[in-house]
Amino acid sequence: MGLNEWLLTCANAAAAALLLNSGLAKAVAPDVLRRALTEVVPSFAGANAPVMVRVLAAVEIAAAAALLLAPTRMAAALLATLLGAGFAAFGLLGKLRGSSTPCGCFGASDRQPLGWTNVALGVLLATVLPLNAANGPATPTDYTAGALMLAATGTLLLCGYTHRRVVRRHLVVRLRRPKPTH
Amino acid sequence: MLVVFGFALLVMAAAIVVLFAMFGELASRVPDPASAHRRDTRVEPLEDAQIGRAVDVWPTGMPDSGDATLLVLSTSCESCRDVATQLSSDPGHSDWEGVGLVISTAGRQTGESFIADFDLQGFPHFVDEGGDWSREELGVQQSPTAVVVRSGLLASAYVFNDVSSLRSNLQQQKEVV
Repeated sequence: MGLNEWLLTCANAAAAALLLNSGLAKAVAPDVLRRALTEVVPSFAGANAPVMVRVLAAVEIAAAAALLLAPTRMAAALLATLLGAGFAAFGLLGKLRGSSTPCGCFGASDRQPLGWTNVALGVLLATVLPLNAANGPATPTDYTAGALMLAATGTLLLCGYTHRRVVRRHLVVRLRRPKPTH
Repeated sequence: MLVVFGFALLVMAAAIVVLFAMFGELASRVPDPASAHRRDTRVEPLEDAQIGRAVDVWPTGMPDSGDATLLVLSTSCESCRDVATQLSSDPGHSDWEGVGLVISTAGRQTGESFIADFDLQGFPHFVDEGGDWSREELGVQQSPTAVVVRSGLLASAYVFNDVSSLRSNLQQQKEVV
């Protein structure tokens, strides 16, 4: 693979890792985002809200998986760009309305509300479509294999980063605590 | 072969993300001993509280206005979420006689979700849409706030973060009276 192809693979893998973390976290705990969205859009408080959050999660996971496969890459890139635009818009809305409820965005377990992080990552995700339209993989099998492995690595790194506080608070401290002696 | 290996790796990574998401969700429901230790235990009188003011409109389902302690919590305030967690996680608070929760919120559904999310259904509560009632009847625009009402009159009001400290403070006030 050439340099351009590697760069495209890395960019798509990074986008897929972001979407995968975001989608899986929403699927497991939809209430975190529901609360944050209700704060900025009060009409989102309906009984169907958790289902809608889980549908969004499913779309994100599907987009992430499709982005890593050469034949479905372009359609997924379009979806990732639309999702990125949505994330950025909600980040901006949260900032404008002074959101303070943690949104659990991108799988984070800290207390960050909707804001500039969503805008920045949303804009980065939105560049996936132009990037893919400008560059195509010459060897689809190499692209898929490379993208899958890079995305797996990226997913794990991002997961470790977004949950660093929980890990430090509930795992690391307790592991370091000396056992009582009798 | 590499594609299959990559796919297996991705599935394992996804499983770990799910595990951490579940762990994060569980951790958010367990009070952090470190933060509980750091919690501000001060109970300060509410500035500009209109002591002696008559509370004309009393919501149904709330404890008798003859002797009631109202905890005003907002759905969009982080300290209020901490107070709600303290109320639901400590079984000792369930026997708090005369306490009522006023959930100040933008919409009824948000207030009811707050009650359900923090498992506060056991406490007498009133969803105060737009915070109108607490502002007009109690003169309270801050949260978390505790308002003591005796014989239909506002007897005292406090700003607090720690429920146990508030209770012992109120108990001391009662003993003095």
